[in-house]
Amino acid sequence: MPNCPICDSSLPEVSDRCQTCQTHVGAPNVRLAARAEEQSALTARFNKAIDDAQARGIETVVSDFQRSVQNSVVTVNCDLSFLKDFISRDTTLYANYHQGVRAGTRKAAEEAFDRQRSSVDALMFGSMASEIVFGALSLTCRGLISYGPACMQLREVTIRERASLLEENSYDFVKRHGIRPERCKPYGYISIWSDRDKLAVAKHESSMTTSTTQDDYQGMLLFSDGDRTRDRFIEVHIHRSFDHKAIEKISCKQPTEALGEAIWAVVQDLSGRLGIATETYS
Amino acid sequence: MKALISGRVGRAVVEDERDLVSVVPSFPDRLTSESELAEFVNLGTSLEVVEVNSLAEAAHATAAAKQIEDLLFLTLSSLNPDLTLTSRVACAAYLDDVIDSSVRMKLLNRLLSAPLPPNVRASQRSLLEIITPFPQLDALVQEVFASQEAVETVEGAFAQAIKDILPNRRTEFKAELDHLETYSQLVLAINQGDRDALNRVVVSALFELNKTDLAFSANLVFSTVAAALRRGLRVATRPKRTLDLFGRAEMRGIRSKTSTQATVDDLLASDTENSFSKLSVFETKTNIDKQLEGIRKQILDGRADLVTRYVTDLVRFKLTHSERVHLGKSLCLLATVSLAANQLEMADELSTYAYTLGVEDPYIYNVRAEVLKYSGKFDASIAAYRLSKIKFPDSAYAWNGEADVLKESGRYTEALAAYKTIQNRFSDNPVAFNGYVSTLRKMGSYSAAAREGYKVRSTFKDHPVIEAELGQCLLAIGKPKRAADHFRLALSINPKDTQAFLSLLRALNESGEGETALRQALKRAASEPLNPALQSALATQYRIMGHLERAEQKARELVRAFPGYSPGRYSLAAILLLRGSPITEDQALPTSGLRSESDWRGYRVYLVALLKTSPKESVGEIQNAVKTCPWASIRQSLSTLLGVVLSQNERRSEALQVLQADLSILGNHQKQTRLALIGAINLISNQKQTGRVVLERVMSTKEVHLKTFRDHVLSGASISAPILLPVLLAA
Repeated sequence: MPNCPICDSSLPEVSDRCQTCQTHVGAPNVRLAARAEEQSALTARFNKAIDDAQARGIETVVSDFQRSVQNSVVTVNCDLSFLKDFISRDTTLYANYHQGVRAGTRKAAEEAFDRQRSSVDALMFGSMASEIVFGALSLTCRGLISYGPACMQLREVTIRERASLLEENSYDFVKRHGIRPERCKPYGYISIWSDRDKLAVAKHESSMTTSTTQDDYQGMLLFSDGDRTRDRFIEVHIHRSFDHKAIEKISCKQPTEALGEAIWAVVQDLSGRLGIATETYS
Repeated sequence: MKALISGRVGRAVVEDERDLVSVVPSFPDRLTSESELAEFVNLGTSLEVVEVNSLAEAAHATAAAKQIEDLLFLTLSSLNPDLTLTSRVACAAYLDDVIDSSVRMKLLNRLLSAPLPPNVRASQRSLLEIITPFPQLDALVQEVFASQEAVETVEGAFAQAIKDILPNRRTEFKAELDHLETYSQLVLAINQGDRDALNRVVVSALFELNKTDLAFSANLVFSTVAAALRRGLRVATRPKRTLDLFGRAEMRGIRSKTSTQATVDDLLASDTENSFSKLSVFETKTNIDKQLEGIRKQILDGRADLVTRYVTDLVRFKLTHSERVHLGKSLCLLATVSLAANQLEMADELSTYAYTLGVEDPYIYNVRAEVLKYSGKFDASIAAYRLSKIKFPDSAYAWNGEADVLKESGRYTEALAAYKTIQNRFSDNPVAFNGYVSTLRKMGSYSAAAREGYKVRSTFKDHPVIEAELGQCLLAIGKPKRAADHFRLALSINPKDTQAFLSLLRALNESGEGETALRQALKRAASEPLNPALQSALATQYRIMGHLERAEQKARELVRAFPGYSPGRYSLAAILLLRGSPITEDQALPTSGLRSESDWRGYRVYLVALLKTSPKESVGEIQNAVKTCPWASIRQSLSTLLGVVLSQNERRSEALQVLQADLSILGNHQKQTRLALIGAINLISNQKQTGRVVLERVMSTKEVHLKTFRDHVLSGASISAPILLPVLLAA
């Protein structure tokens, strides 16, 4: 366990502050991803992927893919009703369930917390689970439409110091690797923000061929057709919440109903006033 | 099962045995994701606890709650002046389609639960303009605004009672009342002056509150509140008299039905498609033409009572012998007659009837937009034209209409872009080409406008409107003789073009050919005795020629012959002003709010009179007029007036600032007046060198019209005379 650079007290893994001198020591999920064991395991997976690529003669394709991922962004999808509320109120934070409960927002939902909050988050994040917000890595402003047609692309500067990445959806990850309380997570599947390209290469190299082109990269990195069970993506974990000022761009699939059209028109206006770019696609 | 529903998030969480299930309106879904609950918890500002028997029932309840949340958001967005017109129209159009009586009540319950913010109430007029073309939404929002006094009464009564009786449980108690929709129901009861309804709401709320541990305190609070509200009921139902220059109150009055209007509505509502006519087509047409002519006469006579009666007859006849679409068109035709007579309330009423027939016809939609434009409700008019464009994309009239409104409101760059788009879309339609020229002229780019005008003229030959527009360009440049030639050409193609004729008179006057203008005016007035605009033109011509007695006589005849034609009254007021006679508000102010360009011209006369009698007091009123006048051309003229009054009040630097502000885009005649004023003020302010240079520039102008201008000022006929007279005499 590392020590505080100021007072030399040992630092708790799940807090962003030294308990002794309250010095900010960085987002705990990022510190976990930056541990030597994680980094060396990830580097080993990455190196193996590069070796495989060379052996298969696709090193150029893989390195081009890696460069693309170096410019990737975090996306968070939601429906238009949620989005209109989120961007029309300065005081609203995008928060996960745990933060809402801890803030005492809704007593009724505590039951939900007690019952449902049994496995995945605790296994993945321990007691800091309550402070993690989820996103998906993408090359463009397109996200998991299974969570809603509107996609918020976050400004890199607002997340890069507090975002870590997991190779896949945490539910699938826990299931695939048989993670249980007494059995630790395998190393090499999470990364810090600046190593997201290595994580992506380690994950996708095996599915690339000589015929893979730039047009295929986005589909490899993120696939979502509206059915959550078929979603494939690299999950981004952001420590604590964000407000609408963290949004760089919003995209939305052209609404087909009049209600959606009207709300989207207003959202575009409100976004324009906030300096947020918008894009409609078909 | 217990469901926690949040309409705002559009989700419910239901306890289904041991599982927790997240329910969205479309389908119940097992809770699988943190973010679902995150949205639910953090954004569900109010969670409703509902007992349900199945997940489907929870989904249904969620859908209803979500719909109201979305509609509430759209309603507020449609009124949000910070949003673009496009999205506000999109919101309003959607709302207008979905608001039925049930949705309306639910929205009212939300909108009446707290007073509107003061800034929203202060901007009521401009906020409402945009939604005027959407009758369902308009009625809803009008009711919300009209209920604000009652909302405050209810809120005030509860606030005081809760403060005295339940100081520690204020939030909890208010949440219960919100949930029961007590506030809004009380507001509606007070607004309707319905004591029984008020009692029913109180009893019902107490019944529900008795199930909670707030029962005892609630009884105390309600007994105090009910007494206060019953007192408020008496106050609220007492009629009030307030001056409403901009006519919202009157508009509301029009919407609240008189018995005759109710008859028209009843006729429309009871109409069935099985009507049976025994008349031939020819007989039907003859009968309808007679009715229309009769109504037209009553419109010009200003007999609103008879118009309504005749329209009722027309509706009855048409519903029996004709189709609804023809009825709609006839009503629109009458609306345009009303516009020509500046009877805007009548035009508004007639076009609204036509609009609410539910006939999908571009003429009906476009006339509705036209009425809004004439009423100075530019945003609403643009919204209406855009709606028409959406419904009838091939209607060039709708496209041009929108561009025209942009032009009239001074949004010139947007207007130019709009006309260009139309030119590409309807390349054989001359209106957009002419509109482009006219916009350039209004922007002050006179030479460019004239060049463009001649280009358009070579494409669309023998077109009276293009000839008239070219005349306007030349007038603005200061070439009245050449302008007169174009107006004559326009009249040779269309002798009935009243606007071209009035412009010809102006060109003749500016060319120093006042006598010719008078002869022409006399001839036309005699040949068309039923055209009030021509009779008014004759009175104006007498005034310009300095024959003030004859001018007054003619204007009085005009007012007697066409009491419903308000420009006639304004014309008389202007003459009385020159004769030094007192002007009453009845003569110079519209009877129902300042809306049309003509109304504003009348108001300007009133302001000049005010300036002469109380120059100090008039400053504020003129400043306000400059700020609020929607018509760009009148705004310019009011700015000149403001410059004069500021100078008279020794506020010369402010006066110079106002006079110089939009100098570059003024027409030649007005520009010379402004320059003369600027020169004179500089001279009076001891800026002799500047003053002399500016005045010399004005005086050295070779155009003939300057002589007319100088004579006009020296005769004391000009509002600028008090400042210019001594200076010009000295010069």
